[in-house]
Amino acid sequence: MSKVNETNSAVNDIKAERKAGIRRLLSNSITLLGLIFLVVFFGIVTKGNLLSAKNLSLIFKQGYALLLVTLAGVFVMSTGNLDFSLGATVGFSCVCATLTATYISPALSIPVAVLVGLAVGLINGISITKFKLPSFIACLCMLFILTAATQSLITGSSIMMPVSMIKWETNLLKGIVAVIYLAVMIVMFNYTKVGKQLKSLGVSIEAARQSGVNIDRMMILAYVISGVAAGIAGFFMMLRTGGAATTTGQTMTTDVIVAIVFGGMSISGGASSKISAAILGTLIVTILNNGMVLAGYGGDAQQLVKGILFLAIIAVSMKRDSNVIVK
Amino acid sequence: MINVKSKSISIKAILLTVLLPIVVYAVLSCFRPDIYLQKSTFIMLLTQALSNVIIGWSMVFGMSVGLFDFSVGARILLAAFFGVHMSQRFGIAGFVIGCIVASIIIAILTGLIYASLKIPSIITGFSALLIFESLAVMYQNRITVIIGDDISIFGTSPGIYIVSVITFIAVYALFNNTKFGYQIKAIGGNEAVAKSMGINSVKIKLLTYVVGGLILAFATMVKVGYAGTITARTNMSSMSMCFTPMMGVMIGLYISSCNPVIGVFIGSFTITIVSSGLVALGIESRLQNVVVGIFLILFIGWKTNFYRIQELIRKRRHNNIPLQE
Amino acid sequence: MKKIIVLLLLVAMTVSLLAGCNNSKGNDSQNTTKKTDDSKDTKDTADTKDTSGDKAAKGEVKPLKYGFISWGTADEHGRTLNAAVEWAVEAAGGEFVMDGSAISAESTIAAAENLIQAGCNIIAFCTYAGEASVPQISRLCQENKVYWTMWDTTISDADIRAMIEQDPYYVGNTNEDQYDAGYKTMKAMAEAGAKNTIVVKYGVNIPTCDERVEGATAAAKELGVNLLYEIVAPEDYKKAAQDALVAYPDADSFFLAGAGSQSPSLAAAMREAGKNKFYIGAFDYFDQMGDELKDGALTIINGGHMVTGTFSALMAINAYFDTPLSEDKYMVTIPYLTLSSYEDYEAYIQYASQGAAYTSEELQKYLKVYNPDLTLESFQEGVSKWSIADIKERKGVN
Repeated sequence: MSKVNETNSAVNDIKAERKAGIRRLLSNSITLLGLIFLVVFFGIVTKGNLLSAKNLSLIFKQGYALLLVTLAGVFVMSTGNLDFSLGATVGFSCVCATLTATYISPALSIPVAVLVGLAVGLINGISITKFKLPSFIACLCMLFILTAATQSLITGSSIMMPVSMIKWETNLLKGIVAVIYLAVMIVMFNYTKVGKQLKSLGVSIEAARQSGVNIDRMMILAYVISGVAAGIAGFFMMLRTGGAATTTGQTMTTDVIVAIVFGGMSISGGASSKISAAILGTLIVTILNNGMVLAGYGGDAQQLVKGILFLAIIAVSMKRDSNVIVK
Repeated sequence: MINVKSKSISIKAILLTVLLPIVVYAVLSCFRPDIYLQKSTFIMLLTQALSNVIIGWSMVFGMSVGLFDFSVGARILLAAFFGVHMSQRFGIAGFVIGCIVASIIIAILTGLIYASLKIPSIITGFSALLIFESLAVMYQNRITVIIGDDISIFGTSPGIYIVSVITFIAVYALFNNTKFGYQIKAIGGNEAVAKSMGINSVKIKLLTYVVGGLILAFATMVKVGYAGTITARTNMSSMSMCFTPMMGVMIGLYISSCNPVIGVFIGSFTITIVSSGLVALGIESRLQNVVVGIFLILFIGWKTNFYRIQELIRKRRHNNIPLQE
Repeated sequence: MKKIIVLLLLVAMTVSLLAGCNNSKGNDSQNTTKKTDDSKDTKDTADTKDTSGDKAAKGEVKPLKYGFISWGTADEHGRTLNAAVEWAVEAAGGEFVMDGSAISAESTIAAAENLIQAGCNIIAFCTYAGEASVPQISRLCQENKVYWTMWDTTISDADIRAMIEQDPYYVGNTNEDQYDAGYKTMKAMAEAGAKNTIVVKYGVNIPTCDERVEGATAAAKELGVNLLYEIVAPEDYKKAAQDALVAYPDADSFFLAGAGSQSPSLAAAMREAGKNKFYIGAFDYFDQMGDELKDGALTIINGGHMVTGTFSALMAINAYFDTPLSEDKYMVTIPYLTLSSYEDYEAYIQYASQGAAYTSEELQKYLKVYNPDLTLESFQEGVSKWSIADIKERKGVN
């Protein structure tokens, strides 16, 4: 009898473990499932228009700059910080790239954009590490400064890039850059010391310090990566929009945060940070924006639907451990 | 002896607390004595600061326990439209009750999202921002937004001062003299320790949303009464409504010589003086945010690096190291 | 297990593709959220007209999907603009689709792409987010053979103008004469007694706003009004106004170059500064303007220009129906409805703001398929009549 009980108990344990495993798996895959749901939903509502070759190309174009910045945003977020100056950095880099292309040389526009982004990221990183400013304050002030600088550099409503640069905006160039960029980011985040140390900062700064991580250097590096990505995105934004405007990059910061959260990454960073969150999240955000207009939901309800979906996806996908303190 | 010492300590604390706005005001008075040495200017600045002060007070509970909520602006808009709508049917009582009821319900909803879904407050804030902003637009488009003259009492003297004083007393008492206030400070100090002491941090955080919502109702009344108008916003632009109060709260939390509640007032008042002063000095509109930002960096930088600077000075004196040219 | 999920995704994508394999461009006008077409009888009338054998009635009424790009409906102008464009689209028997999230250059381009992909035959937008994106949109429309038009816009860049002149799908634009309106508004303020004015702009480097201010500046110069200070895109209008009044205590007026709903804040600032007599000239209507005009807090307000969307739509629809009003690109100027008294406001509320200011039949007179005698000149003449008096006349009110 006791043997039967033991067997029953073992069977129950196995069943419980399977259930827990399925729950864990669902939790890990929920973002992917969310993406599938969106694709299916909009695919059906738009009668396949969402997945036409032309529309997929549009999704690639529309999500491109966001993907570049979001991938780098993961580096900053994995430390438990946010970079509120991202959008302004993209805008300012775009302006500098446009001015360089117009008045100096189109070929120099990309290194200028990258250098500008790098400088901004460096200043942010140094302010936070060496001057011990809260990241929110440092980045917010940088946002103010860059916004004013952008407005000062643009005399009219916008400035145009040279017409000869229109042909630079090709899917081939973007594809090549995207592949190289993705490869570098994935390798750096997942397979190098950089990614591991950044994640350790998100878990516990003190523990990271005790483990020999150079906190200041890693934080500065995270912001520099973010700045460089914003610079590259600024350059591609210039190609896409034909120039720079005072509104360029305006919504980028919030789009990045929304994308990363949609992608299932915790905003407090740490060990659960994953680079795939940037890719999935960007896809979700772009498909959502694209799908809603294709389906005819472009009016007042657009933002409401986005907000509800945002809540629904993170409610299901966000990992919740009762022992973890949620702030 | 002890009394004299504690008296001098408290006078020192008071002086340190008000030093920041006094210094800023004094500097501006040197440049524009014709403006800043007038009583009416001081009163105007005080009135201007109060709506941001009350918003700051609504945020101080949450920020003390580590909650960051960017949906404050959207919540104000939605509560304001409801209040204005009610005022058209029930007069000023309708406005007051409408703002309070709407603000508390919205706050409870936001708090429940945070507490039940266990998602970070900043994410809760973003989702609330998206949802409440859209609802505010939809609501605005369905009513006629006319703000009666009676509502302006909340934004002008003496109404604005009465509301502010009542709110201050309530916030100060809640923050400093109630179990709730102590629990907030315990959680803000070290949440893990607070939890192990038996404090239900989730319940307290939810309560900070509710209490914050009530205070925000007063901020809504003051804001609508002060401006005389209210307009919906979209695309997350209402987030900028909470930047100035947040800056005030941050300055307030860094002023160690006084209670955070008073600190918020001092911080917001100082920011108001700075931004007004920029206009008086003829600085272009687009540069004003930059100057405010730099001021914030300098103040917080000074505060966070104060001991390092002191240490540096002490070392130089001790070693008699001449300053490098 | 993850592989299974990826497989699921592939299956889902395939299913969706198959579900839509008959409709790659999504031109089916029934598959989207839409305002239902109420003008079926007018469409029938048009069909009858088309088959009447009248040689002058070229072109035909075709299924139409109109894509409208704007910043949303949070403000009065955005809200009324939306409605005004729908009047035109309904009159043409078409379907109206909008994207109200275009607040930047890149989102304007994305909106254009999405609307075209949604099957729109015409798209319309404004360059409030910058005109550098216009060549991109022009290229997009040419590639997809989609007609396009601009409202509330005049292109200032000569290169862009030259480029779009060559675009066969670009129809033209509508705009108000912002400079003239700014000039007249400042003139009215000066005549009322304004001597020292503070200018308030609602945005940075927005052409509409800047042109109004340019006109006001010219009038101020001519009439001896001092422009003391410029407030740009304040977060808190009342605070900004109070600060400006403290810095410039001689100020007795505000020129509000847009966002008219903020004028009560400016009026409150004036009153609290102890000024009993002040002047405010504004653009963009708001719900409370009647009270403000009555109290004398508002001197003059320009608005009612939501028909800029209506007429740009009609221009483009004419081209889409193969009955263009001109082979060349053209601009149509939309007059403002200017209110300077409570009586003006009452007339506006009674005749212009309840329901549609134009009926479908009235708007069909601006479509050549329904009105073969229509010419560009008569179109422009009709547009120039836009006023309270015109609305009253059309509604048969004395």
